[in-house]
Amino acid sequence: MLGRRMSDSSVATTRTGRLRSFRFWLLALVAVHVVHGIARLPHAVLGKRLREIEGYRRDGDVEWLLANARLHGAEALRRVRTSCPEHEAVVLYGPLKGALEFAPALLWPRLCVAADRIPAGAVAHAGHRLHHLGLAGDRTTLRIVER
Amino acid sequence: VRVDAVSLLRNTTVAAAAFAFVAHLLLLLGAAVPAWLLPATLFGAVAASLRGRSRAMADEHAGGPTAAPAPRWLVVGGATTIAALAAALTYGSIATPSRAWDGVVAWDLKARALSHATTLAQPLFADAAALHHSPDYPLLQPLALASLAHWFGDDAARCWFGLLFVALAAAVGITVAASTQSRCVGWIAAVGVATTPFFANPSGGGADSGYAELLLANAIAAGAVGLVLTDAPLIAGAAVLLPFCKPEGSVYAALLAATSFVVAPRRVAIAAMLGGGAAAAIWLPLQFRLGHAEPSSTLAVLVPALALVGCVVRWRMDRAAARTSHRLLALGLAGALALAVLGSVGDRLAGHDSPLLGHYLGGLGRAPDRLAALPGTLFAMLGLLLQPNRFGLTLPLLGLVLWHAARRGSQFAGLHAWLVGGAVVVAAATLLTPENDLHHFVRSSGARLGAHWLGTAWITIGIGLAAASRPRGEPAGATTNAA
Repeated sequence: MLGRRMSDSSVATTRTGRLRSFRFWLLALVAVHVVHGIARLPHAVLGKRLREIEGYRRDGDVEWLLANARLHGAEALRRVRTSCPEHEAVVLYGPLKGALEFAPALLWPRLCVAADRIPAGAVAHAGHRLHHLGLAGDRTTLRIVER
Repeated sequence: VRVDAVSLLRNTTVAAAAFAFVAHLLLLLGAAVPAWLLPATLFGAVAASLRGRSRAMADEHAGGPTAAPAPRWLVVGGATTIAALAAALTYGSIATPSRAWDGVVAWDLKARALSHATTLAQPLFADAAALHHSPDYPLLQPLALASLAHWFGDDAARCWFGLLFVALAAAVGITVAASTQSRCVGWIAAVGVATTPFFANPSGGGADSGYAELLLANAIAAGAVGLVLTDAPLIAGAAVLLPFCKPEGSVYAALLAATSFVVAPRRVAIAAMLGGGAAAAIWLPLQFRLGHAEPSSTLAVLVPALALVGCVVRWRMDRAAARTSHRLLALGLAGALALAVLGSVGDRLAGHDSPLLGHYLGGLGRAPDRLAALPGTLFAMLGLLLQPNRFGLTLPLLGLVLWHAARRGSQFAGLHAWLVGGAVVVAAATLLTPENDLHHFVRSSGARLGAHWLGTAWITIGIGLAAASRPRGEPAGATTNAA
């Protein structure tokens, strides 16, 4: 009886020891995780972010966003944005993939309409005059289309 | 007057869900969303969370909020860390518009259009010829940004992203503290999720990238909170919120309802199913309209009907004292029925004009061909989740606490089922994705799919940390200052 009690007690002690050890390793891993997260603050969280913001402000949204996404044709997009009044619509040629995806957002509030949804030779769409410059694009590059 | 943290968490979740539901309903009806709707629901939530000092003291004496306090150094250090991160992210949000791909092309554009007029009766949404990225995305985040912009201006509205970051850390901390009765472990879990690099990184999916990943992570964490605290209003709020955050939120709402059906108490399960069904009744037809696609009446009727039938079945099963295995069987039958229906309408769902989710659900035929590639895809995804510069040590910690819970047993089976279900959904996404290049799919979406579960993962880690401080068999609530 006494032997069994001693045996139970030693099993319980071993379990408690294992539990403490497990808790220790969990806490140690959490500590490493937190310290790693805090250590990244100056470089990865603040430094990179400040460099991004500085580049965005220096280059302008069109140039910086396209360059950051490794896309080309910022000049074409900027030319359309400069020449197209806000109440006109810009015709986009080709599927909305890759570089062309940026056009509706960066041309807003100008409406972008799909070339295959308007009749050939149309000069206006739903009350919006169609701008004489349209945009075409593939996965990486935007280019001007003279209408 | 003092604020009850759990009440605040519950009430803000319900308020956000009410805003999302009513706003999308108004859009579906062709009406404008009034600018006062968001502040009114949020003020209501805060007001409902305030309570008199005498009531609070009475609650404490009655054994209410008795969580052991955390050491002062932990509170100060934790709050400072979270505040510093939130300040950096808020500055990053305000300094410029979104600087990452989807943030610019999908989310910012919708927010600007809705700031101009909070209605779908404008060419960007109403004209099928108008091109913009992902026209069928849910509009909760753009609507919230538009509402905040109305009151505070465009720049200040982007504080939204910093607030979401703090909300996620707070939800994790409050839930862990309430479920383990240890504020110390609550603070550790809150700091753990806040210092996980993913949302702090200035890349796609980060807090200030303009993506809706952080919003979805909050909604998924709210589902976990509802399961852990067995809180019916909270889980209903989470189930309503999920479909209005991102397209995959609809799948997670169904998963939350299914998880609750099997493992949660009856009122919690019914709340989750009613919440998910109500959201689906609004969102499914609206999604097809936004995508200028022919509405699928099968789906729009089937999903809410399935939720209602689930409520009745669960109620009847509880009355008949059915076992968990019977609930699993009922869920399997419902799943088989849903798969059969999806199989019959799959071709149409995968049509050119269908919403993005339709392309996934309509792609059941792709799955068998991709099974061979599944181990490689999952291995690549696991590699992403183990990257310290994205997720820190979250995955190893999660693995350890789940292993420990499996050995010792846990009273939080619902939380573990929610996590495992999420992993299954992510794996299924790799089988059903319309993207043919699976490596590109993993590279572009894998980390974000994992990040959606960060809040839930840290709730699990926090609870596991407290459990590691308890002898076997002692209930979670008995823990005092565990770490």
